[in-house]
Parts: sequence; structure tokens; C-alpha cells
Amino acid sequence: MQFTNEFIGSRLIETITSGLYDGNLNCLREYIQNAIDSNAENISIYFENGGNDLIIKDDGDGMDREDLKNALRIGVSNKSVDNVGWRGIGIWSGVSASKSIAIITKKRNDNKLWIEINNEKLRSESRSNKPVLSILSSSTSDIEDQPLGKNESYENDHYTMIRLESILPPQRNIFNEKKIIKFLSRVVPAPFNENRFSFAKEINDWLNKYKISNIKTNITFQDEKIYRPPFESDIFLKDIIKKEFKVKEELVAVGWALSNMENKALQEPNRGIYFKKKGFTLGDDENLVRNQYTGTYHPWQYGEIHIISPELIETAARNSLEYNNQTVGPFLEEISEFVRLLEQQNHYKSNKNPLNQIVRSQKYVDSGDIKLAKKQLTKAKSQLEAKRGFPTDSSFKEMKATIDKESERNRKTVEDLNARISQPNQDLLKKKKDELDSIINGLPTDVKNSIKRASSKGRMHPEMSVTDSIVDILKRKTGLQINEVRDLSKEAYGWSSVNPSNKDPLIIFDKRTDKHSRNRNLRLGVMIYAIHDILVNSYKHEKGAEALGWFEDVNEEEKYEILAEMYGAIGLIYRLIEKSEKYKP
Amino acid sequence: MNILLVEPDYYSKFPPLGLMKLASFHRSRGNNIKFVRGIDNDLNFHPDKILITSLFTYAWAPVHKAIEFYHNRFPDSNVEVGGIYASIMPDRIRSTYPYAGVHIGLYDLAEYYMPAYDILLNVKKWENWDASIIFSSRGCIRKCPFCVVPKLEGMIRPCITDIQNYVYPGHKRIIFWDNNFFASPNWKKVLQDLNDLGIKVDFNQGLDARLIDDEKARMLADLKIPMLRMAYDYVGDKNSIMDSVELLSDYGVRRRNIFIYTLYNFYDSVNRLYNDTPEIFLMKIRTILQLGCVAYPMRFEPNSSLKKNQFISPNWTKEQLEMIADARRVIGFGGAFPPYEGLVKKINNSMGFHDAFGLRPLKESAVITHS
Repeated sequence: MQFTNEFIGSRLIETITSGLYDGNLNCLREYIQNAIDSNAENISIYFENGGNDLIIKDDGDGMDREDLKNALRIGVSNKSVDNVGWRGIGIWSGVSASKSIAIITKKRNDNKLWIEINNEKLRSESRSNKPVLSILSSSTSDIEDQPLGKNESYENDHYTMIRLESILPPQRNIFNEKKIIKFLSRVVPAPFNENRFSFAKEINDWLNKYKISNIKTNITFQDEKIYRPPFESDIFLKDIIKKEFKVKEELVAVGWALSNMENKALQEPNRGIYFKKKGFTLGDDENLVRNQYTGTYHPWQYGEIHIISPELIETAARNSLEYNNQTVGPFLEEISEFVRLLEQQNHYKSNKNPLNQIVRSQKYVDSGDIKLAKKQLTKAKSQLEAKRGFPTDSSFKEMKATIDKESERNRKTVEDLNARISQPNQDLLKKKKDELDSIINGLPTDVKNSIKRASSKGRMHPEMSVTDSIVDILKRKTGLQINEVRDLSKEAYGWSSVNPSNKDPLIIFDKRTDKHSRNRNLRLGVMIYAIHDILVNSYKHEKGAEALGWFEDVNEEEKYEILAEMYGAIGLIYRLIEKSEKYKP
Repeated sequence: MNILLVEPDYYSKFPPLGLMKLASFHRSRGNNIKFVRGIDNDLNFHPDKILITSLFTYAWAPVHKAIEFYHNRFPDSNVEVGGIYASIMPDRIRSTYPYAGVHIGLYDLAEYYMPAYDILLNVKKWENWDASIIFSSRGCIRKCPFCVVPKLEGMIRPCITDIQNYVYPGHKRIIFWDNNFFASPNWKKVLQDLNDLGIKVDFNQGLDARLIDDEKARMLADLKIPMLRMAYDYVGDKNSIMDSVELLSDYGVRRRNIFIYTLYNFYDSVNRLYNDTPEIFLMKIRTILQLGCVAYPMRFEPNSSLKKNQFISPNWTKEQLEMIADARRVIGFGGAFPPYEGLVKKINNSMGFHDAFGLRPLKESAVITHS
């Protein structure tokens, strides 16, 4: 059958440009691919005019008139599958993001060329039913020669500059600095930052063995070099799992993974296992391994799986692999198996390294909660001693040694903590406890009762436990409601100018006399006020808790000491109120 | 290529829109640009091309100074002068500076670029500029004899319709420079877009009162327009002015926020139809103040005058013109006559021009001398 122009509808353009790339930064990847394929050593991406224009400039071979025409072909590409991009839609990928795309390019010994794609026109006409060819022709400019300046060289200059001009307002929150940096570091073939990631050399050496990761291109965004994650080293166990993936004895991919030191998921961007092909990540920010091939994997690892086999082909949108040959299925099975092993390793590790229990018991030991500490330590011990399977796969061999070594260290910590608990400084604590008990015993019955009432933990929380007795006696003695008492004492001591919620100091020492002398009178008032506020809690319990926040941080012995003093003071206040007589002028 | 963009050091309330568009145009061709205002002695940039803009004809001197300076500084670079003065008096530039090219009128290729507002950051005078300037149309349907627009831009034609694409990131207001906004067929879409954007708007060149109808007034009233500008040029526009003010007021526009440019000192030697006199001027001011709006006197300046305030219409005297200048300074506010009670009373009760704009001689002690 003979096809003509009319057989291809304008919607095709929309499908290619929007369907594939709408609303994301994928076009950046396309342009970077093109740059890398043209042998660029440096690619700089930057905003111009306050974020209005985004420029991708490379020092690659550049294009002559014929190359540029070819680059604008749709779905036709001269590139071989060996190149990164080869589907031939690259240049059009920015259509949905901006008002126009300008391309300026120059080859050695050739003219500087310019062409512009009018995206507005392309978009509006792609919704019409005009023939594709006429839409494309009317929304692109002619290729123009551009004059060279005095500092430009006809012989030597070579580059390509893609300008996404006037990023559309709805796209501006996608094309923002933070998101672009995140996207680039995740997706493009950037090197590791060796200053921040100490495993870089070992991984690079290993990948180089398979001729992968030969990243020579220097990619910058807003003059900052782009690196790929991870950006930390200390969070990982000091061993790298290295794995070859084979299908029918043939090597199809090479992977590596690092494991979290702690027993929990890693944080972005240092987590996930990513498929890479020619340095580019498949699926972009998406963690394909987690999202598509296993449902259960817990991201305790960071890793990469570099695809070597030309049989494994990514889909055009690069979010999956094409199921079009015999290699893909077995490969993905390999991946699932690998992930299963990682999970097994995680289980083993969390058992052999009961870090949570150790951290908790450490905290309890420090704060003197011996009972709770013991409980955690027993748990930790039983985990350390339990029997657990570990992947038998050879690539996990060294990791087992690393985990066992860690485990040994943890076992020692557990032993140390156990030893600390049985130390005789318990005597001192007991003495302090007895002192507190005797102070409480000596308190007026009402106060004692109110402490008892506030549950077994009551005496450790003065702000909860003694409120009622003070309130009761104030009410009884004065025959007033508690807010009336508050208002009266407020007036007597001038608390109105000591608002607990403002930033003024609670206690003011003021040497000035006359005009400001009333501040001096506040000194006693504010002290009573402070106690009143903490204990009687007219400003609600939260305020009391806040005022006593520091109390939580002191150690156990000191706590008992302070409580004894506090309860002493409370007893005194109670007695003062109890013994007071009605004022007779 | 390196392109140097020069804004001569004349007085201006607005940054050079044309140069900003040219900056974007040249960047789009992969060229480097550098923007300077006035004479820059420490310029670290070797241009292939120097583009100098110009403004009113009477502000020619700084333009000439810039041409000379940059030509001497970079004798092997091309100099091209554009802008209003260059478009009106190209030969004056050509004959003085044979080496300089002159660009007349608009540079169509650059029209649709987002102006490069970022270049303003390098110039002290403009570093805090926060408004996007937009022409939603060019040209005008009218051919007023006192106006240069028909000569420079010709008939009306819409240009930018998708306003939101021309609001620079971070800008809080839009200034329209349309010569006659409502004469453009796209006015409705633009007003709807402005409403959606919810941004402050200034139709800086004034709206044509003769075109304001019920729908337009309603749509205008919905926008954030701190100052709505119109012009009262012809005596015969009185009814249009009054009707549009009433309409706008009905829809909730504060009369105090309506600002009416009032032409005076115009003399049309060709058809002698529109020539104003001091008494006509008084009548116009009186009408505006009675409406409760602000009158802003605009002294006519011939399109090609080389010195400001030299032209005196045969219907006016130098003294009368000075009276207005003094009155604007003394009893006006910011050069305008707002509808202040005292001012309205004075103008309303006046017997004639002299009575209305004449000022009492200042007492000796009250004279403030400016050094």
C-alpha cells in the first residue's frame, strides 16, 4: 500500500513530544545523550535570564547543515545501537517544556548554524488536523548561518548549544534548580564524588574491568559539577557486594551493592538499586528494582546494575526493558534472585547486629533505668545467639565476614553494658532514692496523698502530682476559686508584666530606682510565680512540662536530689499557706 | 559574537525594553551580550557590535555622547543606533556619525522574545526593577496629529496574547505599553488572562476612553489596577471621558485612582482642528476634577524637538505655560492635580485661566531657595 502525507496525522507529533516527555526533565537526558554521542568532553547546563531559559551547551563535534537536518528527523537516526541515544527524537524532546527551542551549532571548518523550533506553534497546530509535514515546516525556522565574532575561530570552534527558551510557567516548578540537580545526579553518567564517597575507587576499578563507567564527560549545572550518589560512605558496611549476572553462561550485566550499617532503610539519595546502561539510569528517579521486579525489597542497600548485553534494550521512555528477546526474562529472574539474597542478608544482619536494642539499652544504662536496660540487653543477646541463614552465593562471601565482624563487636558492647549494670554505684542511687522517700514521708498528708494519687510514676513528675494539694489548700484557706487567687496574687506581685509566653527574662534584677523601682518588687513575686506556674499549673500542664524540660536531661542521682529539694519547697509552701491567717488591716 | 548594548544616560522611568529584547534575541543566536548604561570606562568586554538605543528626540545629547565614546573605545566594532530618536531623525545621526548604522522602527525578529530582565541587575539604576513590560499590541487605530505612534508603528496589530508567558519569574506587576489597548482585537483574552494571573497591572500609556464600554469597564474593575490611566486630548472627548468614568465608578473603581492625561499647548498647523487654548485647558481640568479624578497635564512637545519645553503654541504665552508649571509644583501633587477639596474649589470658582492657575505671590519669609 502506498502511504502519503495525509496518512500521518498531526497528533503523532503530540504523541512523540508530549506523550513521551511531558512534564518531566527527561529532555535533559536526551540532550546530554546527544552531547555524549558527539564526543563532548564538557557539558554545561545553566539557566539564563532568571530561570527563563535553560541552556545545554556541549563542546562536542557540532553539526553541519546536513547533520542538523538529520538531527531534526523524527524517528530516524544515524546513530548505531552502540550510541546512547538512537531513536531519533532527541532534539524534539523539549517541545512541551518551553516556548521555543533554539539550536546553535558549529563544526570545525564549518559555519555557525542556527535553527529555531516554535513550540507554541507546533503545539497549537498539532491539535489541528493539518498534515504533519506542513506543521513541522511552518513551526521551524530555516537553518541560518550566523556570523562569527572576532574571538571565534572558523577552523577550531565546535559545539552545540540547545536553548529551551521561555520555560512555560506551569513547567517552572519542574525546571527548578533543586529538581534538576537531583535528576541529573540520578540519571546522567556522572562520576562519584571521591571526596565524599570512599568506595569510589574500588567500584570504578571493578567496573572498568568490564569496560563500563568510562565516564570522561564533565557535566555541570549552574557551574557546579554533577556527581552521582551515594554521597556518603560512613553509613555503609565496609564491604562491597560485586555480582556478575549471566544468562546462558554469557555475561549480560554487572552489579554492585553496599549495605546500610544500621538496620533500617537508607535515606534518599543514598538508597535503591538502579539499572544503568551506558552510564544512564533506566527509569530515571524510579528505582526499577524495587518498583517493577520485586514488591517486597527493603531498600537497605545502594547499588547499581550495569547492563552490558546489547540484547537488553530499554523502552523508548526508558522506564523498563523491552521484552522482545530470550535474554530479558532470564535476566530479570537473575535480578529477582539477587534481590532475594539481599533480603536474606538483611535478615541475617539485623539478627546478628541488634543495633536498636544496643542503642536503647545504652540509653537506659546512662539514665539509670537499669531494669529497662536489662530487658533490652537480654533481647540483644538472644538475637546474637540465634541461628540464621546467610546467602551461599559467592558474591556475598566477604559480606558475611564483614557482618560477623560487626556482630562480634556488638557482642562485646553487649557484654560491656552488662558489666556496667552490675557495678556497685547502685548504692548511691539507692541512698538518694531513700532520701527522697523520707522527704516525701515528712510532707503534710494532703501533699503526700496527692503525690500518691498521681500513679506510681507520680513522684517523678512534680508538675503532675502535687498540683491538687496546693490548689485545694489555696481554695480552702481563701474561700475563692483558683483563678480568683491567681488574679489577686498577680496584682500583689505584679505578675501581669511577667508573661510566661513572652521573651522577657523570667526574673529581672534592676538597679534603677524611682520610676522603674517596681521591677525590683517583682523578684520575690516571680519566684513564687514560677513555682506557682510549675506546680499549680494555671497555664495548663504543657507549660509546666515545658518549664521542667531541663529536668528530663539530668542523670538519675541528680534527679532524685532535685526532686527531694522540690518536694521540700512544696512542703514549705503548703505549710506557709496552711499556717497563714486572714489579713486584718 | 560579542554584542554590547548601550542605554545612553538620559532620564527615564523605565528600563530599555528594546535592548532587553535584543539581548534575548542575540543570546538566542548564541551570542554573548553585555549591557551598560551611559559611559562605562572599565568595560572588560570586546564587542563585535555595539547597539545603542535612544529615547525622546530632546534627549539626543547623551545618545551622541555614547556613540562617540564607544566608537572611540572600540573603533573596529560596528555601531548601530536604534530607538525613537534614531527612528525619527536618522539623518541627523548619519550625517554626524557616518560610521554609525541607524535602525529605523521596530526590530521585528526580537519582538517575541522574553526581555532579558537579568541584564538590568548589572546596572545600578535598574537593579531593583520588578515589573514585566508587555506590548500586547503595536500601533494605533487613530492618527492624532500630536502623536508619533502612527508614524513609527502604523496601524494597530496584536502581538503578544499569551500574557502569562511574558511575566518574568518573580515579577509582581505588569506594565502594558500598548498605545491603544482596547483597539486591539485581543483585548478580551488579555484581560481574562490578567484576571487569572491576579497580578498588578498598569496600562501605562492610558486607555482610550472612547472605547470603554460596559463590558470593558466591568473587566477592568476586576483587575488589580492601582492607577487607571486615560487621556483627555480633544475637547470633544468630554462625553466619552465622563461616561467612562461613571461606568468605571459604577463597577467599583475609585475615582481617585483614575488618572487623566490632559494635553495642552498643542497647535496643529496643518488642519487647525484640535488647537487648545488656556481656557480650553481650564475647562478640561475642571471637568476632570469635578468627576473626582486626577488630572495630569501633558505639555505638547513636537515629535522632533531637540530641546524640551521650547515650543509655544500661538494660542499660548510663555507666561501662561509657566503658570501651569508653577501650579503643578505648588498646588498640585507629583505634577498632577488631584481632586483635593481646596483645589477643586479654587478651579471651580475661578473666573478664568489666570484666576484658576495664578498663585499668590509668596511672602518674603516663605521663599525657600534651592541651592
